Amino acid sequence: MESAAIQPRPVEIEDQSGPPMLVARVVWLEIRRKEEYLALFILMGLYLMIAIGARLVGDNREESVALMLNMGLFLSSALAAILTLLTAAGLIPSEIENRTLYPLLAKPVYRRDVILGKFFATVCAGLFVFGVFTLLTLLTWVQMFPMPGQDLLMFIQASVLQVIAISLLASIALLMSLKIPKAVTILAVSLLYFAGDPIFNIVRSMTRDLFFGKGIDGLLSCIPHFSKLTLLQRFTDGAPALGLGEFLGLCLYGMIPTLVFLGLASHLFERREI
Amino acid sequence: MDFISSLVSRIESLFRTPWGVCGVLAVYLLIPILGQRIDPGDYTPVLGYSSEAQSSRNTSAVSRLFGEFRTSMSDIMFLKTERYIHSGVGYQAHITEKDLTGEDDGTDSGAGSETLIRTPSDDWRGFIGDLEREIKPWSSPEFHMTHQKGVELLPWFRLMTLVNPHRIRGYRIGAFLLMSSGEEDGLMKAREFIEEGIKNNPKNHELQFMMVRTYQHEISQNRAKIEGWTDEDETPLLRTALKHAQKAIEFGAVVRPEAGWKGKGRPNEMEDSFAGCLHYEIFFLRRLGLDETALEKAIHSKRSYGTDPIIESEIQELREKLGKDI
Repeated sequence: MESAAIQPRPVEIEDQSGPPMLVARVVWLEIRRKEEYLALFILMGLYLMIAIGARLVGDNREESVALMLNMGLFLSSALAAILTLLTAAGLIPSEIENRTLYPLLAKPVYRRDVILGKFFATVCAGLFVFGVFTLLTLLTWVQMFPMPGQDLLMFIQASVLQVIAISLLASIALLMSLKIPKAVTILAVSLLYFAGDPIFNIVRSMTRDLFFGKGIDGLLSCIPHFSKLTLLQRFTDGAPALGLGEFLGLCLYGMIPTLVFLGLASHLFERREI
Repeated sequence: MDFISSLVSRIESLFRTPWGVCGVLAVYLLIPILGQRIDPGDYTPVLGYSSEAQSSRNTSAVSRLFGEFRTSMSDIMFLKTERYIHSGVGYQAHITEKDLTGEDDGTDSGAGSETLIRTPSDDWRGFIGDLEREIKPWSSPEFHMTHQKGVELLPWFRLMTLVNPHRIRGYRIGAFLLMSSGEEDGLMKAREFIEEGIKNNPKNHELQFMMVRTYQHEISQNRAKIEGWTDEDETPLLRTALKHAQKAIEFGAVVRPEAGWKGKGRPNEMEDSFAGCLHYEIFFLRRLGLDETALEKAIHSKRSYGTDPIIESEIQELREKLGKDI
């Protein structure tokens, strides 16, 4: 039986997009076809159902709204991160496993274009989820947004940094998936994203007084801390916006490793025997 | 897109030569530098952290449902510790007629009193109830509560500050327990704990206030224990404590709202710490014999941060002592 599933749009011959964008478009279509991603929408739908229910019964107390807004924004960013991670960690290994990488590499494309294309598509998917879910959350609480004490500039800054966090997440997952099995990549990167800070703090505190404590501290500092880039909680807590210097510093904090990891992933992929 | 593509292409080409790798590493070194200098997680929450806000939020079914998800590891530890310290058992308050009339002679057992975790005779859940009573802090209301020392909680406070080095309450309460533990090195350990907190939260006024309290505690302890302890012996301790009090005022003044922190719970703790340091600064200056400065500081505090009965009485006393017009 013919289903009304989304059919990939054939790439037009006149299409002037570069190879990375063509690869990205193919990956994007693939992402849209996968049913498991619908689970994320179902989760967000559950939240929205309860949130809209709360609005309808008139639970508009500031404290409740602040918490619900926080939950909605947290879910948006967390689900976007999960989607990005699952997609980025699985793209190259599954292409190699399914042997679909060979026809792709037989085309006149650089290997780095393949990496970049997959990166762009993954980030776009993450941003799409983040954007849509955030918009739905904001629409639910639109009459009370931003609440007294919350700084709209902080929200904008937090959103920009969240975008950078998603890009960084995608680049780390892509890089690791070239060398490490998919499941290990997902586990390690999700730990880094969701629980990196507490883990680093514990390790730092345990080793502080040892003679190599400073070395470990320095080593841990070299690993990007996602908690510095995921600041939506800071907005809902009513903290003031970041200074321009701090904000730009955090942008660099996320963008430098993203570009370095992408470059390294391209380099490793160029040299990889397939 | 083309820009990013060419940028990544250039970075990729850098990995081909040792000098290129060195260049990439040099740029990457910005990460630890930026990471150490910028800490966006170090802020004082403004919304929803007072006890009133928490109570109001907890009456909302929707918020309670979602609030469960929000509880972080550190919060779980704090809640667990609070439950443990406040009598160990989740007893619901029960006041009998005897309590009210003062006829309670202490012989009446608590049999029949309600507890948050049901008693076996009142529990329809069978083995699930038994399991809960075994693994949760529960004891029968028929027996008197055995009070334990707060130091038993210290590992929890240690762990919660390891997980979240910005958890000021963890440092505060942990240091207080250490300080009042009665152990010989309790005071020293309390100070080390607060120092760690200050290192992680260098601009926090509450930790400076806790430091002041350790010095005040030491002074009181020395007066009681050391024979021949004189006011002169106190001077170095007073000077150090004064420095911490002044730092607390300096840091607190930057973040304090104009009308002060309002509300029970955290806001109240923050305001109390700030006000405490304003008072301590005046006390210490007086004990160091700097009455003129103490009066100036008291008047400055009154004008800048509002007044309270302690500051008023200090101003009055100092004016009388110095012979200045009221």
